[in-house]
Amino acid sequence: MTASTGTVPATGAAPSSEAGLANLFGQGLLLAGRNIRLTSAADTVSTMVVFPVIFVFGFLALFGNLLRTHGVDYAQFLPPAIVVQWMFSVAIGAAFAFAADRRSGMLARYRSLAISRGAVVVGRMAADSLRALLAIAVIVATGYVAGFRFQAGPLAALGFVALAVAFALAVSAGTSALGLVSRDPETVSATLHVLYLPPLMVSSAFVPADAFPAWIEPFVRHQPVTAVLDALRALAEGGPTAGPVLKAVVWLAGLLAVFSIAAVQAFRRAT
Amino acid sequence: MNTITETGLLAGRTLRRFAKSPQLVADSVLFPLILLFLMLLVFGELVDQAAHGRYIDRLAPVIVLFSAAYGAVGTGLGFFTDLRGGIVDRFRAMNISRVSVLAGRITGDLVRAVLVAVVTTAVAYLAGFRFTQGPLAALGFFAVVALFAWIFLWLAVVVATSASSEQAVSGALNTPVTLLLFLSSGFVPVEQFPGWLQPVVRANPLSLAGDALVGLSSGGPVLLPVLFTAAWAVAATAILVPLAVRRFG
Repeated sequence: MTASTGTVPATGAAPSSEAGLANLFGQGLLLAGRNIRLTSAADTVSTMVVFPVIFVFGFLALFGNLLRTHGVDYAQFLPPAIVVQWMFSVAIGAAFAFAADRRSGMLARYRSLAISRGAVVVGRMAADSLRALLAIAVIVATGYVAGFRFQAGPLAALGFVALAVAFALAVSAGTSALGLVSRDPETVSATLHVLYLPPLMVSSAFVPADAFPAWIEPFVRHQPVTAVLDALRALAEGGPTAGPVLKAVVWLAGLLAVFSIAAVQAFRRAT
Repeated sequence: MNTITETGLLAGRTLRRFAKSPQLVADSVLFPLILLFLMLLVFGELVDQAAHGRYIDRLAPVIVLFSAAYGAVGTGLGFFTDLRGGIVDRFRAMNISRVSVLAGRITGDLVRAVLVAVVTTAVAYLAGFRFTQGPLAALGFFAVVALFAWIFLWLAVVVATSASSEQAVSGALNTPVTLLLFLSSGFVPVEQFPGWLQPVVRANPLSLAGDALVGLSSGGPVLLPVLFTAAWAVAATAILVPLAVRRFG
């Protein structure tokens, strides 16, 4: 991949297929197509459709009555939490895919091709966004059946979807860094499946912050997952949205900055 | 060599393979413990307010049972690897009885399930879990755990003999275990479920064995839940053992 690409092949290919935004996105979408075709339909249906539905109704059945006694409308409260949970799941899928690509030598092969390196990242992000959108659609539809409603209009609903996808991509940057360092997709995925539970559960995901023991309540209130959840709930229910959304966006920007540095470094080393 | 010696040797192999895999140990011990502390943290105050009695008394037994059922996923995967990896073919070529191969797998994993239960209970002790019914009841506690694990171990063996891939094994075992956990009286009392679900929750072997364990640790009815758990075990034995033996033989 040196600068000696001056000789144009007789087939008439473009002199450079590595630089430029058109290449980045064109090739990125091509790779996104590969990433999507690579996940089996059965697996996608079970992890992105069946399990979210089980979780929505499972948690409602389990904790619905309990939280009603606490004064919480759980059908409205829960779906954003399941959305966030599945955004973690999308991010873990990204780590798995990168680790698998590294183990199989696909990442090394990309380097030997005359394609934009960034396209590999764009391809991953596009495929992840699609998986995230599918999960959000399924969970919101399931929630709708249970009684969840967008009460703040279509613009806020769009903001809900955008914020959820942004969260998935920010977390994916962090998990991808781990996936790129490893060559063992099963271990990475198993480890991340345990690691994501504490930040998710010790947040306002499943019960409001005031239901936690007093010593841990301040942490619950101010950690990033709670910030994202508060913003999602504000966008769904209406009321003051600017404050929570701003707090969530600031958190996401911070996380994204840190995670991207780690991911770019891991990516440089892996490819 | 007679069947009992063979079983003992093969059970030892099963246990050693478990002990030598840090990932398997971490997965089967750490994950239930993390779940225990998270559930206690998230739902402890709410359940303490809504129900009578402490949440940990109910939660710890259920986590112990969950780790036993969840450990069966490892059994299924381990047995599947044995079947596909050729070691079972090699056992068959040896002068040992076929029953020993199955019995060794079940015995080894049964011992593992009880050991994991001991570790989980010891950690739950730190969170306030106590045996208040005497040493005999404590022994009965672990006997019920073994009885419960027995059901899922045979299920895992049957799944392993009929599955086509590792993913299929873990999928076929993870889904029912997750569902049973959700629809049990472990995380919240039965009365908190919607009325139409309550019969399912009450009949769930995890709820029944959980009732038995609560009775044997912090007090409450013991005889009836133990009998119901035993009934589940007998039913599972009657259906799963012949199935496993036929598929394996």
